[in-house]
Amino acid sequence: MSVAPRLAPNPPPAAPLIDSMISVDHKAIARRLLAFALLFFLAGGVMALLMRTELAEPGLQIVSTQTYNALFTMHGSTMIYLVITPLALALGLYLVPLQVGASRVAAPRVALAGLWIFVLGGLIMQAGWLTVGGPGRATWIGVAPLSEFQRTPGAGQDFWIIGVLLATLGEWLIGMCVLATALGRRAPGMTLMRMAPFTWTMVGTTLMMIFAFPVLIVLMGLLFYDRRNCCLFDGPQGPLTYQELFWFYGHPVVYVMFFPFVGAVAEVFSAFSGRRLFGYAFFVASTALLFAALSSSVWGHHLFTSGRINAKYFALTSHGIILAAGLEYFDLIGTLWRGRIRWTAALLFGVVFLVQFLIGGLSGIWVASPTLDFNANNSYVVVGHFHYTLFAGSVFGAFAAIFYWFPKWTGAFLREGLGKLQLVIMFVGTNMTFAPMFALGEDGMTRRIANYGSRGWETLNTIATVGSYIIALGILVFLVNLYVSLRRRRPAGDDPWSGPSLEWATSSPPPPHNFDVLPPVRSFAPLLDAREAVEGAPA
Amino acid sequence: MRRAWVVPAGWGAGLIVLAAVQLTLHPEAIELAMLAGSGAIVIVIGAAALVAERRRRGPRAPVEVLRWTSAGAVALAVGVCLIVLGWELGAWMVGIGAGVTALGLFGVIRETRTGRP
Repeated sequence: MSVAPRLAPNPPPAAPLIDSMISVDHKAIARRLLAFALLFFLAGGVMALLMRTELAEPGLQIVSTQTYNALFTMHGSTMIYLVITPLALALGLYLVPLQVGASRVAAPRVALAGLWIFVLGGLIMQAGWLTVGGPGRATWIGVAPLSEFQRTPGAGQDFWIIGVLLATLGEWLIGMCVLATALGRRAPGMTLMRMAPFTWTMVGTTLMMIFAFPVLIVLMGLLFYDRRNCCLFDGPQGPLTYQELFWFYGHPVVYVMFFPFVGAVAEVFSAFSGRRLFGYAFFVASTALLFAALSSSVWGHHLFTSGRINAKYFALTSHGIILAAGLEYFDLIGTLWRGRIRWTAALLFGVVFLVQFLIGGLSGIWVASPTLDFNANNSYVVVGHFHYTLFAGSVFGAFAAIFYWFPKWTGAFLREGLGKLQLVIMFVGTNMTFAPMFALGEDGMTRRIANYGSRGWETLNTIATVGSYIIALGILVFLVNLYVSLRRRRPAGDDPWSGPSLEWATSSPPPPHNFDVLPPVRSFAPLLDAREAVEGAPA
Repeated sequence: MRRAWVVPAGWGAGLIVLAAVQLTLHPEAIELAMLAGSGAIVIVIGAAALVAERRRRGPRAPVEVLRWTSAGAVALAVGVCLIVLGWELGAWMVGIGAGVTALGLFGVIRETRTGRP
């Protein structure tokens, strides 16, 4: 047992509420980030329900076209900028220092500043609802020239731009702290190839953030300037230049919202099958290196129909992702193969994540092919595709992570029964909501319309709307589970799942300095090594 | 010994290789520049990490003193947000933001003098 570097914590805080808001403990920062992401998730979910209610029947029932435009803009913006990205980062900020055996995160003040810049950015974006003309309504990508002042006047769009800029800046700061921690604050013995799979996925994630996020930050500054002055994105090439720059951020961020949950599911599969991650080296190479690099070179497929981009190249790189994704699936399934599987809620969420993300991934091939994309572009096929990746995929991965690490964060279990009930409800709701979108898109329904007229699309839209309320019911079950589990705690102990990586070697929740002692690190699953040494039976 | 630089340097090289593939397919200048430029930036970061590693001598101090809280960092964050919000609301807000940022900076400097990091 090696002794970890220790912090000498200050005396206990005198004003706990205020002190917890300004704490530099990475775990406290991550908890705040997670809490704000969940609050924004509820807000974004309400917006989605309003949209789906409007779309249940043709015609305008509950909102005007302008309000609908604001709803889809703010729903997408909230979910992308304020929910799934920060959720992924919160997991990384909490877990990466623990998994590499560090006593703290690198540059904790930067992480704390990042948290509050993100939160204030999110609040400024939502403050657009309080302005006379309503919030931003030029789509979640703020596409120029629609987002220029003449076409979208009012302070709400300005607040949207400022909000996106600040939220992204905050996330970038946090991401860089996570990367610096993984690479620079590893415990003795923790070589690069002994880092936990989740940590590697965070490395891949944050590597993409290095340059992708600053591009969006600068672009938002330019867009704000353009609204106040003029002509940055005018002319025949202006809007395309905007989109080229936006998607240079916009596609890597899809993987920023995916990789951490793949890593989480890898940890879950390993813990609940009692085995090491199968093909660890391939997993690292495919996720952190090949997949991340390819993910940064596919942005042009969003512009296939513009005719401006190099379609052959972007079709090639977009299809290349199949290889990296296939390796990940192979590793994850291989981990379960012949394992001693425990069918917990976390594992089941992980399995459903794999299945549903596969649908998102396969429909991605559809829109990654230039010829097919000309047919699918701007249709509900695209809406179905990315909701299968980000909601049916990433959100289920996030719940796998929450059910798995909740005992570490709080020292108590979430209720397994309620978790499985939530899973079934959300599985039904998700597929009822998003599967009809492929059929609607193939039939010609375009995205971002409040009234689709009398074209025979009522039935599928009604099914999707009912499905969205079923999803909401699933989320309600989760909130009840959270309340019950925190009110009537079932103590979990330090390592309730027999986890493989270092975070399970400390108390639940961990102390401010993370570890009193560290076990020796001789592989990427040091706790499994220790258990096998005692039991004498390799897993 | 930690070889942290390998990851960004290797990954940056990967991006440049992917950018180079464009050369065989009649690239657009902006697309080539964006990807190759990003790769170059990441390689520079890797090189900086290598230099930092070489300069570091000896193990870390076994005991680090970390303050429990940092009001300075939060003030800095609020100040930056107010400055950016001032683009919309006017120079008066930029002024307030600059003041809060200065206070935050002062706080952070004071905190770092009393304990690392």
